[in-house]
Amino acid sequence: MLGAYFLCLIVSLVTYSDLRTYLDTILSGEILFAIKLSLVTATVASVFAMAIAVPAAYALSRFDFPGKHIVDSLLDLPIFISPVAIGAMILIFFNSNTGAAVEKVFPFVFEVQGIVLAQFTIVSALAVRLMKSTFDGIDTRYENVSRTLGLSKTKSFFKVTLPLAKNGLIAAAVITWARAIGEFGATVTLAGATPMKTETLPVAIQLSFATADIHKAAAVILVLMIISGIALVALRTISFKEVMP
Amino acid sequence: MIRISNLNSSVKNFLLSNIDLSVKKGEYFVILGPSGSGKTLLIEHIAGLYKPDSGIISLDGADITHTPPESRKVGYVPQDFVLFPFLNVKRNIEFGLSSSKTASDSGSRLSEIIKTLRLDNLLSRDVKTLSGGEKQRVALARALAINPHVLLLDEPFSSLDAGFRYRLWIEMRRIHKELRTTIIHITHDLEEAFTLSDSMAVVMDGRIVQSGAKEDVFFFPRTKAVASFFGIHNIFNGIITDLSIDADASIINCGGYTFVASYRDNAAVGDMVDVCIRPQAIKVIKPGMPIRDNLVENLYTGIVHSSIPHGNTFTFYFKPYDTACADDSNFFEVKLPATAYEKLKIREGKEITVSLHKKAVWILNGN
Repeated sequence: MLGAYFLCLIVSLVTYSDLRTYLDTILSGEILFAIKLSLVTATVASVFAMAIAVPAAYALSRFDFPGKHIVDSLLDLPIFISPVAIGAMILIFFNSNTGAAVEKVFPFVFEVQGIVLAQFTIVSALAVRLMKSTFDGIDTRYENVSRTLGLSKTKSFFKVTLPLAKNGLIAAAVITWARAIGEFGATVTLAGATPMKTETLPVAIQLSFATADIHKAAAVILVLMIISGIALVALRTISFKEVMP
Repeated sequence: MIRISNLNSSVKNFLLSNIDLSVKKGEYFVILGPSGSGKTLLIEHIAGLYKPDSGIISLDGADITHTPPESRKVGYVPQDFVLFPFLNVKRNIEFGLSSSKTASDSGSRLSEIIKTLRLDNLLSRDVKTLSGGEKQRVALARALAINPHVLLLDEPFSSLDAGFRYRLWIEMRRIHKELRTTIIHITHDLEEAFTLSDSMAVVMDGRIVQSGAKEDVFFFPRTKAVASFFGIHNIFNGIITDLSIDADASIINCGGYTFVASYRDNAAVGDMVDVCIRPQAIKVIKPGMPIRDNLVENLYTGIVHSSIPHGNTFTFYFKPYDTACADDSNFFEVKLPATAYEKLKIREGKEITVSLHKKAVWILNGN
């Protein structure tokens, strides 16, 4: 039933305009800019998120430290709170003295960097969650054996844990990136919706609807769907590899 | 030589208490105990994966209690072998050699290990395609490659079929004989422990309850719990009625049975004791045959109550006529080879006479 429902949505989107209109819209300067901006910002945000998520998730998975449960709960906040609220919280932070000082050196508000920061804030917690479940699923005995064979904790992490986490790490990166590319609420609140400046694909959809240009909105949605489809195929391939190595 | 002195440790609500253990260089030492008794936790302390709350672990005289696992040179083969799935057999075996601490003088030793463990034809194989026995040999080779001071084996045969296990026990003895590495092997399997060990210790509830040469531990369990764990059901509670140092005898009355055991110097007349008798130690007297002098002290006639065939052996339950107790706990459990069972024509309901050497009546120390 649900599958049929989603299929209905896709069919009505694909048949809303003809191919010519879709191609002309997608190949327009504004939409190409939005595609490029979305790909670059989502990639940068995901790289930063994964770089922080891997050690943080490993620490949460393997070590006990004071306040671990508080840190663990804090990481769930961006998942549970509305992205608009997160964007507003970042905006409020940049109105504080510390935030204003940061903003003077490296501006975020209504800038492209703001898109990256908004996306990073939303997806980093998700990346930590995904990586933690990957590390939780790796038997600590592999690391124990590695240590008895003469490798330090750090070397064991790089030579044993990371290779074992490879598929989980790639899957987490793909999901993180896909979530970042679709991020709207926090992005529009922090970086605004300036055409040809902070116009990511979701922002382009919102701008198109604001000007009642439904054909343009449908074309952008189609682009987002194709990108999501590619991410989904990549994920399925990784999952298949895990089952049939 | 590895020595553990008064080790106490608390890990996840489990306690290891007052562990004292000594394993000689080149010895095959088995730690035996039921599941959940703390055997794995104990060898994980030896491997350095846990630090004790108190006590000392020393290796060849050097205190290694706080030495990290990577600096101990203790080979560890966990249950299920834990081979690295992203490396082939050769790279699994060589894994520990990448560490600079163990890299020197490794080439010839590695060749010797590969030859001894008959791994020459498996080196390029993916570890995921190996059989249980092959995985075990690869895990052993990987641990031995670092030339460890001691090799720790955590139930290495538990996941293998029974028939295959017997072959690997023989193989393991051969490997130990050839490489002369000190081995500490944990298991809950009595037969495996007896086949492989030079010495053994029994662990129960986080404590070592008995240790020593394997014959001493196996044939003379110290407590009722150890005897029960060894599968001995012939445990009888009684009172010492006489002691004679000259006759080397302790007379114990167990609710109808009177047993003659060897003289016990730390016992006194009137002491309540538990005695245990291994079912294999009970001799069935062939009708009409003369009885040897050393078997006449414990002689019982009665009826075969029931019997269970096990293939090569038979277990039967025997009830002497002259017991005052009627409950089932006073049956003797007897184990005989199937050939002897058939030759003596033992059947349920048949009257037979059994006998015991007084050394087979073993007085236990406590619970």
